[in-house]
Amino acid sequence: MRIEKQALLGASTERAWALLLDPVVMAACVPGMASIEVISDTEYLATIKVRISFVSASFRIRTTIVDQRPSVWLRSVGTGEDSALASTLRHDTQIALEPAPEGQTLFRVESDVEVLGRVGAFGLSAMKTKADRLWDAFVEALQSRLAAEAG
Amino acid sequence: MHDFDYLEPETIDAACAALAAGGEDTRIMAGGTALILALRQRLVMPLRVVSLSRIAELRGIHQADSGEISIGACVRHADVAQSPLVAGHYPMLAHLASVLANPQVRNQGTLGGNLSYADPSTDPPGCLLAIGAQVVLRSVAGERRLSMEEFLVDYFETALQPGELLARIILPAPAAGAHGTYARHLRTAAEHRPMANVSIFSAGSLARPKKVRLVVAAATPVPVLIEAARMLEDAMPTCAAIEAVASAAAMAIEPLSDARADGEYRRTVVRVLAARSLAGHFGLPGDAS
Ligand SMILES: Cc1cc2nc3c(=O)[nH]c(=O)nc-3n(C[C@H](O)[C@H](O)[C@H](O)COP(=O)(O)OP(=O)(O)OC[C@H]3O[C@@H](n4cnc5c(N)ncnc54)[C@H](O)[C@@H]3O)c2cc1C
Repeated sequence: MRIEKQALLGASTERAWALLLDPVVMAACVPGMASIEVISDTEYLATIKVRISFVSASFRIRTTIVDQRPSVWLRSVGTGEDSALASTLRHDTQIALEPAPEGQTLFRVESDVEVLGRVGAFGLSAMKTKADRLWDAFVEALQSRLAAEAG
Repeated sequence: MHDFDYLEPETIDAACAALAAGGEDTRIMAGGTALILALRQRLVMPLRVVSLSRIAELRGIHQADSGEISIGACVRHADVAQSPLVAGHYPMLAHLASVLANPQVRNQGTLGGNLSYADPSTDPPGCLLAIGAQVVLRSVAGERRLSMEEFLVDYFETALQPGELLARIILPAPAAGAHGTYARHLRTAAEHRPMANVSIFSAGSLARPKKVRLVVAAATPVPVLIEAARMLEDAMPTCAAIEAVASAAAMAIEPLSDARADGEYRRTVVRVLAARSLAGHFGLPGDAS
């Protein structure tokens, strides 16, 4: 499944970049993120819980930043699994930041996500819609964090 | 399927106690039409399943002295369709229950299971929101009564808390001149589930309605009450006003985009379905666009 998203953030590209790479901020803003461990400058291990109706998946995802141009662009890849549901998840994600009018930043994400195993049985449509809802919640959390910093 | 304990309490209190004692690994089962599929696919692996099928209090459709109509959570869709009380006071709901899914599901699936599952591609939630229904939830802590707006939280998400069960659905005391219309759109005739649906509920005369509630569902993650429909209140409905409300409804929603249909197509379907249904509801010449 391919996910393409964008949002305007009320901060400079440098500030937005720092925020997106701050594990504490991500733990607070990514919906369902139960924990995040920093393994090195470019490696993270995160546990993310996602619930669709009565099905709850808990993926432990190891993500590596494979390439980056600070404050502009990065590419990360990751794999994770939910052992109880015998499911795996793989993602290949690019994040781009661009200056936008009035000191804002255009934040774009393109991600190829593959979910294999039993969770896949719930259906791609439901997962895609869930991903949309999670994205909206994530952007809202980021924006209110930036607004709180500014105010 | 993996092994689990199967409990069949006979009262709501006993069911609530079993849910409270069981914790996270306990699941409620009503008709089982959704839960059994998930158990078979091992998407859920509970240690205990609490069946509601022996609880007489969760069945039956009654009218209280206040005029409110109470539908037990374990009432099956087929029972709603055949209930003289529902057909007499809320024919739109009886009609809906007679066309949803297929005969097997209507004879096995329950209204409470349908609402608790919160799948957007369903019929009752939008209709019940239009009618102004409420739900009664029970747990060991007691009882809560919520409006449909409060109950339907988000995509596949309700206000039900762990340990809580949906006990009954309350339809308001029938109002004078109340009139309802329900319309669903299927992608193909062979599909069971709606791709979009529209519910209209008005009170007062049709020539000059006092109250108009329009709800769009199945096309959206959660049913949406269309505020713009209130422009039809206290005025004589006209084709132009109906067109304006239908267009406003299509613009107000954030449509789902999935394998059934993409978002812009759903928006178009909602506009046409709303225009036709409103025209039919108020007895005006239909829209064919
Ligand atoms: C082939 C098919 C076609 C369908 N088409 C349609 C359609 O066109 N329109 C439509 O509206 N629906 C449709 N459905 C869904 C149908 O309405 C089901 O009846 C409903 O979703 C589940 O009801 P159930 O009683 O079988 O619930 P179950 O499978 O027993 O339970 C579903 C979920 O709700 C929980 N639950 C059940 N009862 C309660 C309660 N009282 N309190 C708290 N939690 C509870 C369970 O724990 C479970 O998580 C379709 C289903 C199928 C299989």
